[in-house]
This record gives sequence, C-alpha cells and structure tokens, in this order.
Amino acid sequence: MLKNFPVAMFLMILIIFLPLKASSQTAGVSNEECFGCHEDKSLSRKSATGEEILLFVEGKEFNRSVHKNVRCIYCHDDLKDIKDFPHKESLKKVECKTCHEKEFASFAQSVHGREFIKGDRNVPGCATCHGKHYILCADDPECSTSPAKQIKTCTKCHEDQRIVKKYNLPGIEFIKSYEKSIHGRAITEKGLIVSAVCSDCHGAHEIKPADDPKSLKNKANIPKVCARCHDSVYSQYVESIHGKAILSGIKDSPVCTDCHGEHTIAASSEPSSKVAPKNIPETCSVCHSDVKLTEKYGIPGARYKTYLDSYHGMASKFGEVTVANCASCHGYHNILPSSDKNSLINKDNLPKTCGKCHPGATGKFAIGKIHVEAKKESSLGKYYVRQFYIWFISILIVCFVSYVALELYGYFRRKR
Amino acid sequence: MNNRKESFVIRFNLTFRLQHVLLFTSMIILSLTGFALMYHDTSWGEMLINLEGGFKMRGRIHRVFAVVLILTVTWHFFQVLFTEKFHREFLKFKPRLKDFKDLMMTMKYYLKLSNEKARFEKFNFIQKFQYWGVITGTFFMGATGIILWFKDFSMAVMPKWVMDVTLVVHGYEGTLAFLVLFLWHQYNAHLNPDVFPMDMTWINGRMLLKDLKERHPLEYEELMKETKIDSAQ
Repeated sequence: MLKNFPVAMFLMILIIFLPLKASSQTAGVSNEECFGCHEDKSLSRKSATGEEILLFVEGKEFNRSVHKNVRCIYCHDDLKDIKDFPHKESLKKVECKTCHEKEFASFAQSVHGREFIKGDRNVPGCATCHGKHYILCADDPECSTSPAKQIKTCTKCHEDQRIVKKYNLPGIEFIKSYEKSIHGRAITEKGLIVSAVCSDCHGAHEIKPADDPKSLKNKANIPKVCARCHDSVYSQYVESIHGKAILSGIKDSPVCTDCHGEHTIAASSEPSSKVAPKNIPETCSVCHSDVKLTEKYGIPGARYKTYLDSYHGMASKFGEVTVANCASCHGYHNILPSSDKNSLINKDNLPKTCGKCHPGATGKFAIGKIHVEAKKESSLGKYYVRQFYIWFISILIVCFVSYVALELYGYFRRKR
Repeated sequence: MNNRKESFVIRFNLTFRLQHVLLFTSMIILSLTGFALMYHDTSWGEMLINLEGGFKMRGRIHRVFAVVLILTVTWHFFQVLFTEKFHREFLKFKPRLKDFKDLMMTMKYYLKLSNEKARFEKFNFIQKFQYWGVITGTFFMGATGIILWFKDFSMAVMPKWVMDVTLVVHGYEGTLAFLVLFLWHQYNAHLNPDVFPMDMTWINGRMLLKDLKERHPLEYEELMKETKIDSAQ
C-alpha cells in the first residue's frame, strides 16, 4: 500500500483538480465571447430611472487589470449558465466579497461599510474606490488606490461640498491642507510613494470614526500608526513622560498629532509648522498654560508667560530663530521630568544643556529657576528688588510732584 | 529776547555742554530701545521694536549708545578728577547740610511761612540731587548692563538668580532714571516759570548776571568779590 502512496496522491490530486480545470475551460462563455459584444462602444441600456448606461468594456484594458485571469461570468455569476445571447438586461450586482471575504468583513465594520450596507449609495462601496473592470494592482502607479492616485480617489467625495455638508464631514480646507503637508508634498512634488497617504493613517477598508477604540485615529493608537514609518521616533517617545502617560491610559497627554498636526504636518523648517522654532512655545502652551490641565496633573503652569518674559521668549516672539524655545532645553520626543536623571533639564545636565548655546555655563549657573515669576514663593530676590524699586520710585514721584505743586503754588501766590 | 549787551557769566563751559548733549542723546535712545524691550508685550513696545529695525537691531542700537554713555561719563570723570580747574567745579557738587536747610527754607518760603529765600551757591540742592542721581544711575545701569551684555561670561561666574535680579535692577533703575530726567529735569529746565519755555544755558552756557544774582546769590557775591579784587589789581 505504502509503495503505491505517491501514485495514489497523484491520482487524488488529479481527481480533485481535473474537473475544476475542465469546467473552467469549458462551461459558460469565455471572456473573448463577452468582449465580442461589449467592445461595441454604442452598446447601452436604459436604467429603471431612464438613464443611459454604457455597457462598453474594453478588452485590452481589462486584460491589463489584476483580474485578467478571472472570467466575466465569475463576477457576473448570474450569467454562468446562460446559453442564449444577448442575455437579459439587468444583472445582479457584482459581489466582490465572494472572493475578497476578509476585506469585505473589515469594510462592513467601517464608517463607509455600515452606511453602504444600509443602502446609502452616496457612501463608497468597493467600486467607488477601486473601479470596476479595470482594477489594477495597488503597486501600479495607475491604480486608483496607489499612493499617487489615492488622494484623488478619496477627495472625490471628501472635497465634494454636497457630500461634506450632508454627512457633516471635516471641512474641505482641512482635507486640502494635506496637499501642502510634508507627506502630501513628498508624494506630489518628489514622487516619494513611501510617504503617508490617506490610507496609511486612516486605514483603507477599516476606516472608523476617531472615538472608536479600534480606529487608527483613536488617540491611543496614533503613536503606533505613525511608528509604522517613524519607528525610531516612537521608541524615544514611549520612554518620554508624554509617551509613558499615553501608554498608561492618560488621554490628556499629547500624541504625535497634538504637536505636529494631522493634515498640516510640516517640517520644522517650514514657518507654518506647529513645531517650527517660532511656533513651538505656542504649541506646548496649549497644555502647559492651561489652568485646568496644569492643576489636574500638578505640573507648573504659566510656562508660556514666563518664557515670553525671558529674553529667549522675547527674541523668539520677534522672529529670532537662533534662540532657545521649549524644545531646545526640554527636548522633544524624549521629554522627561527634571527629576529623571536622563532629563535634559535635570540639575546635573543643565550645564550641558545650557552650554549648547552658552559655552562656559557652569553648575553654579543652574542655581535658581529658569521660568521665573516675580512671586515671593518662587523668586525671592527678584520679588524684593522689584518691591523696593516700586516703592522707591513711587515715593520719589510723590515727592517730585508735591515739590513742583508747592513751588508753583508759592510762585503764583506771591505774584498775585 | 535778552539784551545781548547785558552782562553774563559762562556757567556751563563748552566741554560740559558737549557732554550734556552726548548724555541726553544716548539716554533718550537708550530709553527708547530699553523700554521697547521692557514693554515688548504692549502694542507700543512692539511698534518701537519694529521702528528700531527689529529685535536684533534694537539690541545693537542699545549697546552702541550704552558705549557712548559710558565713554561720556568716563571722559567727564577723568576731567573732573584730573584737571584742577574742573576739579574745583566738581567739588562744588559736594552735598552739605546746607542743602537740606535750603530745601526746608525753600518750602517755608513757598508756603509763605517765611519771607526769607534760600541763598544758593553755584549749584543748588536740586542740581546737586540731579547730578548725583545721574552718576549713581549711570553706574548701576552700566554695571548691570555689562553683566547682561556679556551673558556667557556672567553665566560662567554667577548663578542664574543673580542675573535675574540684575535684569530687574536694570529695568527699574532705568525707569527711575527716565522718570527723574523726563519729569523732574524737564520741569526744571523747561516748565519752571522762571525759565519757561527753556533755559538756554545748555546751548550757550550763559547766565545773565541779574538772573545769577537772583538764583545763585552766593555765587554772585563770590564773583563780585573776585572781580573787585581783579579790578583793584
């Protein structure tokens, strides 16, 4: 028996596959037969609403598509056994899920899929994004879902005033701002197809609203999404105070997009970037000057004001870029609290951190606060000197004014 | 306006007049550039910074005129310390108990509590106060300004809180100087009914003998004594 095993196997395989092969070869009409009629450009039918629907399918284009080896009657399966031509006019809708089961399952859970299944035809189904007869492989630059073409495919609806309004979608300006972002420009100007396009951040079939915990746009998932490309940044971020907080479920902590923006992401060298040196103080202060947040987490507040009062802050406000901003001292992806010995603003590391710009800054220099408010509790010296001057100047002014008043009084009284 | 034939004394010689011009030009520019920074968060502060050619240029202008001021004061000091003629003049600025008595007397006189007017020497208590005010002010401003200017050196030798205090002192001392000069000195040199609209002494250095007799009687008497001696010889 065992001696004959290979032979038996061979026979079994033959038995399984032969009929399949034979049937695909023989049963039903071949694609060429279909094109025989459908390559006629004038072929059309009237829909139920009276619109004219072209029934033209170009064989040459179809044979370039990813489905070139799939027979027409596989998708149009109600024509499988048809023998008489021309066949009936209205056919069943093509069901992609017959083959693409996994994709359909994920689509069915998505914002698009849920509405599509309910029958809303303003919402994209498979063909809206992928096309019908001429679907190309996503690697093909001509494919409607390829990085270069995808933006157009999505904006077909997302930049359509009527649809945006009807479904209360994010504004067109916001969507469009992507084109000017570093990701958008990498694609359109430099042809870098590895850059992030819509589906890289939002997902493709599985697009979900941001409040869904499974959504790629959900705050907890954003760092991971960006990490798909920016992995080394992610490894720094998760070690930082912000990253650790997010990992432990503190949703108030910033993720990538809170500092970098989403559609508007720009290189720090762009003046418009949220992380451009000039704009960093404002970006950080969204949280660090927020009374509610600073009190909730017991972190020092008024950071923006005290920064702006410093020479660094003033110079930055007036457009100097060779001046320290938040990130120059605190770091950016690797921000740590001063109590951490790896923190750039740890007392032991301050001479080095300040020394980046001020060679010769010593450990002695680091005695004293950096963000100084002239408050009694935080900066005694500054507080008393200021109080002294305020009193001294006030008293002096009172003396001057009274002396002048007295002199004028005397002068005019004696004159009379 | 005044009769040119009237006799006068030169009270404010050419070098001092020149120093006075350098002093007030540099101080006006230092105030404008300094307050621009101190009040950078107000609209007029911002406007001043922009007028001064931006943030960097503002700083450059401030430092250039700080040097002008420091050099002027140094020049003045060398002069009053090392030349006999000016040293004698300088000694007349020495504060005395008489200055306080003069102040009291003047107030009584204005209040009509007494009819006796204080009799001043070459410099009265107001002028002495102003002179020493400018000297101490310039010293403080110069010292704190240099600490802030050479920040990298300062950072190496002193803690940051000292620099913070230095900055506060520089700002308020500047405010003080500004107020003294622009309220008090402007009043005395322009608005005071005796000199209105302007005491011309800062331009021509002169004071009419009749004014001298009235405002600085002790100096006048001294002068008369000297001239008598001179004419007797």
